[in-house]
Amino acid sequence: MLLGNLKLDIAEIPHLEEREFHLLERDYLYYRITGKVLFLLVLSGIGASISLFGKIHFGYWLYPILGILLLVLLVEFIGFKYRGYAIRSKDVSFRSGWLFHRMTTVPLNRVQHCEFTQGPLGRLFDLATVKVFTAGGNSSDLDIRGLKKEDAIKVRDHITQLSAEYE
Amino acid sequence: MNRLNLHEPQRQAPLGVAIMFFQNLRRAINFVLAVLVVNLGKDFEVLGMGYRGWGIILAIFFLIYSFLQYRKFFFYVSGDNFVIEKGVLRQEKINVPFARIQTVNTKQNIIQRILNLVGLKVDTAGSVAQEIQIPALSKTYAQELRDFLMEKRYEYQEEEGTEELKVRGEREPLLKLSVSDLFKVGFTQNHLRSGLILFAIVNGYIWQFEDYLIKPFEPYIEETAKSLLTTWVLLLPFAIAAFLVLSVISSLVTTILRYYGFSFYLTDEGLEIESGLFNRNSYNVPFDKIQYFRWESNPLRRVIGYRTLKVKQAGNHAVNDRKLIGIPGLKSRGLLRVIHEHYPDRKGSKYTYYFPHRLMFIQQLVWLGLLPSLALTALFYLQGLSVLFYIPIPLFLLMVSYLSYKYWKSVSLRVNARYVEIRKGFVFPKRIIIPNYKLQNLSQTQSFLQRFRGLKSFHFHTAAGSLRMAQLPSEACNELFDYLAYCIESSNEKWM
Repeated sequence: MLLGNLKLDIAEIPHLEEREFHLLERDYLYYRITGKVLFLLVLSGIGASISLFGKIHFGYWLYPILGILLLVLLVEFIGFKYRGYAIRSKDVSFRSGWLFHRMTTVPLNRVQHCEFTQGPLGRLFDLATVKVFTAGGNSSDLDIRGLKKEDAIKVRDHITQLSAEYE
Repeated sequence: MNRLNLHEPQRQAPLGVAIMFFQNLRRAINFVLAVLVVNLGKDFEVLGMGYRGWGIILAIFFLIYSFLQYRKFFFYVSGDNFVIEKGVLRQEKINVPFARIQTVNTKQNIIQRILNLVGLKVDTAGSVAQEIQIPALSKTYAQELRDFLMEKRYEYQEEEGTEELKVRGEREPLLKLSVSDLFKVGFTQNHLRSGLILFAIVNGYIWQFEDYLIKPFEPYIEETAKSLLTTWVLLLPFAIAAFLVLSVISSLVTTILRYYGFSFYLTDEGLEIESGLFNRNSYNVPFDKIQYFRWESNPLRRVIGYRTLKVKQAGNHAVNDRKLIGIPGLKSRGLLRVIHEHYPDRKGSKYTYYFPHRLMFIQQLVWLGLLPSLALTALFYLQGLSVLFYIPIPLFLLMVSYLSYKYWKSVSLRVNARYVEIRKGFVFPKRIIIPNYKLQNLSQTQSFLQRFRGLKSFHFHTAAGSLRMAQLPSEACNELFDYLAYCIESSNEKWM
């Protein structure tokens, strides 16, 4: 199955090593959990008001929501160490997902532009996202989430600078 | 080219007034139709005037408006830009830098054909929102303007400009569909698809005018529905036959409308297509804008050796359907010529082949065969139907497993230093060829199920959409990933 018949040896092609991936900030885990908990709180609020004014027993919504909360915590805690990014001299990669693993690599000579975003919750945690766009796909092709704000700006400038060299 | 005299603002051909008029009329009719339908059968009177009076007033108003539109429509060259000025109440000025021009296509709808005029449409990189169109030009003028713009585009886009554009001589089309070819293409369309499209369109219209078309018949429908339910088994063959006949007719009609007088040229700049019965369109696809080729067939077409070539251009997803240009009824010889012209070293080095794991077969069998059969069995059991009903189920399962098996066996991927080629489909065979350097980014995914079996799915992202190769062995996927990333990163060919 190896690409044996090519002119160059497969061993010479740089392989994306496990150790080249940087873990994300620990805060990003709490950021994600906070977001999910907030959402569940809103749901519980709706549930609570229904059982206050209606005749539905609170168990009908409380237990499923607690169950979901447990599941979310489990998935987030285990899934966190699967998230990471790697910046090499010629490409950027991001991977994520425990149950459904995904890794995307964007070669720097295909980067169209690169942007920095920070939402309201992100501002609270001082976390930001770097979005990398190529001509493929309709939205951004690679989102590096969970970076400290100053790191994110550094990463964005780095990618912009490297990709500009290919123009 | 001097004859064009584009340094002074130019107007369109005088008959452009008529084109503008019909354009306005069509918009008006769309609007008025709703009013008409609502007032169906009733007398209509506003301010003491009926249909006729208002009709005449509107017609005069449109005529004046169209004339003003025509008078206010200019196009000219200023510096490095092609400029269009238009608008009666709100003046609009569109600047198109020559370097940004992608292609220039001509269009002819039925009115333009009757008046022997041609619409010119300039496609630019990026801006999709702005429609840059000159609706009414004489045929020769449009051709000259098109050539002029395309020449400018090459002048401004190629840094060296060493490649001299060859003079357009008498060209021999690579493919010209005669009427009999047209019928062949029409009869071998995917009838199921055209039938469903027809059904969807008819369905949409019926519900739009529900009040007038269905309400009066409701009592009858309800009555017959009861008896229909008991005899549906008897009626089913008739319904299927009617559906098939309608589908075939619909595919024939759409084919003739779309592909009448179809001719396909291979020029030095790229591909050129002209087709259409009422709306006559011509497309130019410059070679460097093509992201990848896809060619496909179906069981009927395979018998007569026809294939459809689809040319995928860069563009966002909204325009992709329009930009996906299809060339039907291509025999293998012509197809090979196009591909060879575009990818000269396709037959050069050896390829490495990759095949999907049998999980692909199993998954298809479960989702398309096993689960539906189980659901049906449960349904029949709950309804207490006789044994007779269960007979088709094993047959269905057998058919699905055969087709899934054949599908799985048909999927393959081959890679060499220049191209990625994907082949898939047993009933509807498809082949896709992407030059490695046209890839934009790569990704791989692995679900929980795939992890147990050591499999991954590979996703290729190009500027003309994404493609997927599922259930590859993990090591193969990783190796391919590294290799293709290397190919992209080490290439300095312009992907566009």
